[in-house]
Amino acid sequence: MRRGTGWGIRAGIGAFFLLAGLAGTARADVTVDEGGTIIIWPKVLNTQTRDTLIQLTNSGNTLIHAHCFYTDARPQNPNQPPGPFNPLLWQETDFFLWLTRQQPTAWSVREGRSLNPIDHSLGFDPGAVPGVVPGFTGELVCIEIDSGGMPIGANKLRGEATLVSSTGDVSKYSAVAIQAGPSAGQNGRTLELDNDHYNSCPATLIVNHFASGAPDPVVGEPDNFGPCMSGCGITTEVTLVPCSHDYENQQPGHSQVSVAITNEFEERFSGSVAVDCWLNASVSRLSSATSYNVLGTLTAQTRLTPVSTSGGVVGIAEETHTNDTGTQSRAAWNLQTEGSFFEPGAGRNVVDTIVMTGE
Amino acid sequence: MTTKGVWSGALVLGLVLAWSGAASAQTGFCGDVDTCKVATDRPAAVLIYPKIEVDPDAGVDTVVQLTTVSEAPVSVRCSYLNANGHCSNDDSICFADIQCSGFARCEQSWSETDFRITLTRLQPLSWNASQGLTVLPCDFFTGGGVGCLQRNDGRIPPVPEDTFIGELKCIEVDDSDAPLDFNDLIGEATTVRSDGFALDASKYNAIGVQAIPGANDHDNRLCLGGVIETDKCPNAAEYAGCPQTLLMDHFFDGASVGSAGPITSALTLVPCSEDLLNATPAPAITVQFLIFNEFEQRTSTSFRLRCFGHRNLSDIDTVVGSPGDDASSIFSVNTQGTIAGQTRITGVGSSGSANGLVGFLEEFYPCDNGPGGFCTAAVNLHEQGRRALSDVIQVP
Repeated sequence: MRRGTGWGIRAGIGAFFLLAGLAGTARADVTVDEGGTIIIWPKVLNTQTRDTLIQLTNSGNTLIHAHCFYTDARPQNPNQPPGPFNPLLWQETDFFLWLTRQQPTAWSVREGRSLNPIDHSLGFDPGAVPGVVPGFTGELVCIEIDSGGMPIGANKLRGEATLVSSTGDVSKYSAVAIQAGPSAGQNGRTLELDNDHYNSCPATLIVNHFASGAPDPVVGEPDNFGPCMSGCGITTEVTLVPCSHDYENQQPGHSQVSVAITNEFEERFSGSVAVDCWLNASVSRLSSATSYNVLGTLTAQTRLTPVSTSGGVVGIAEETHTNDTGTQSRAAWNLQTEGSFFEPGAGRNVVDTIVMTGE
Repeated sequence: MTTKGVWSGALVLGLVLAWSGAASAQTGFCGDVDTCKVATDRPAAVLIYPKIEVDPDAGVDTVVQLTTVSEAPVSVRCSYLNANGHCSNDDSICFADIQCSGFARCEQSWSETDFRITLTRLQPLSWNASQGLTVLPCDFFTGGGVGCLQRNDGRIPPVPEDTFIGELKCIEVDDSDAPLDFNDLIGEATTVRSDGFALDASKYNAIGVQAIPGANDHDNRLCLGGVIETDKCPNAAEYAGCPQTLLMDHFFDGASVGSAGPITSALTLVPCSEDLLNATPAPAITVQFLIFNEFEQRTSTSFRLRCFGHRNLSDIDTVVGSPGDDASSIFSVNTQGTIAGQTRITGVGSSGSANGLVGFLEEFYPCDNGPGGFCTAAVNLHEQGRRALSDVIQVP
């Protein structure tokens, strides 16, 4: 009796040390500061008023290949707002790139970049980069692959996007990089964001923003550096994309995101928003509580937490400053992140997956 | 094994799973020297805002945002570091020798202004650098804070000079002002330029230095990174270390991409090591730049950085403030022949310090509606590698 009991307890203690070791090793590294294997530019535009400049860099000392996917997320009827009867297109266009050691490259999404070996003024063309259709609104994803087209995990890619308006106004953000794990590439063209094959998207995104319509504190009170008699409200847009992408079957990802807002008085508000394929919305659409009249404070902290049974998201934010004359200026920034969306120990068991197209 | 033994083992295993579930729920949060980072996208114990700029005559101000992600009150010690230059002959503010009359030199100063505040749970704060914040939202003593369950302490002063350029650094501390190993702070800085009808805004994330849980000895010497024990850091790293190399993706000055351009850029760098106790700038650091263009061609240059550096890219290897020689810079599209570049930035270490750096990049585009005819976009730099020695922040 005593010996059997001792064995049982020793087995449990052995499991303690095993799981303690495992618990300390898993991590979610969706990053904007380091290189990665899956690079996501959440907001890519080619509208009448805005173009996007893409920068992609190889930070390694060897040639690397990339399989890139534009996803057009316009509504099927672009003249109507998106909705249940006007779903988003989610039309993907893919292309292949290769970058030599430490090579940076850049292109305008409106123009693309042709493969022209005699065009010495630009550099080594990374491949035939198509231009996107007029009116394109969506995202770009690039995935490190080997020369055979299969995903790998070198974590050597990084990127930025510059949103340029026809007036010359600009805003810029760093692309979101998902780093590869020890089992990267073992499932072929299906990339599992499970902190083993590739790192998981974050559990929570944090947006530190001005209240929707809050008067610009530099243009208006207290600085009064600009005309602000009839209002100079700041607005903020958040762009969210699901981490799951099924390019092979043309199936967009989906996430249900809970929204928790805290103002400067510790007052809390909440809401919920669905992210189907791609979402670009003002914070007031995430929750009407983010308006300046409701919040009552200049700034707020909004925490976006995908429901554990749906899928993870990544994103950026962009705020627009305005003065009395209607002059606008935009500034984009990357969101803060916390935790790991895939965390079985915390009851979060959904694995986001990216399914690439085959040859 | 008996039934009793099986149940005993199952009980222990169940407890283990519960514990590991709780522990792994923290996964993604900083746990050790390998997972704690210097980053711009996650809560940290130390926030660095490399450039705070105020110039009322030019309609420029910086809106600072500081937020806690904790449900408990968080105390923060902050320091403005004034990097204004002053002409040696009349003490007027300057940023380059060329701005001083006669043969006077523009001498960069380095002084600090400290303040301490307490943030309430999940509280976002913002203030104009030129104005400060004399009454915090949950300051009960001023009659504010109706509805607040926790209380703000302290106030935020304006920057020490009307025209100001410098750095802001904030450190999470406990009630006795000792540095803490909690990572609760996030921040951004928005530079707004307004001149009549013209308007321009740019924004960057504050750079966060995460504390390593359990590694902090709670003295006023913060050891950032390092695996080698030194006299200053006998326990090596208490916080994540500044990167070995900063990676800057940029367009070469004068390049045009699509319909945008010609583009120019400016880089801001600050050292990770700072002595706020004795208000002395760290010894000058040699900063090396290794530039790759789209043809894989490499060029390099360097300059000396002391306490704060803000330069147009084409001024890094040419005369500062002299645009006539910018076309000859190795950061110029005329020299490089390609649009995009990648620059690897490294602070040369010394025997006593890692000499790590952090910073960010600003790009300037011709713009109809921007003050001075240009609009600005800001972006944080990428990073790579870690340093063997520690950087040290000595706080008062």
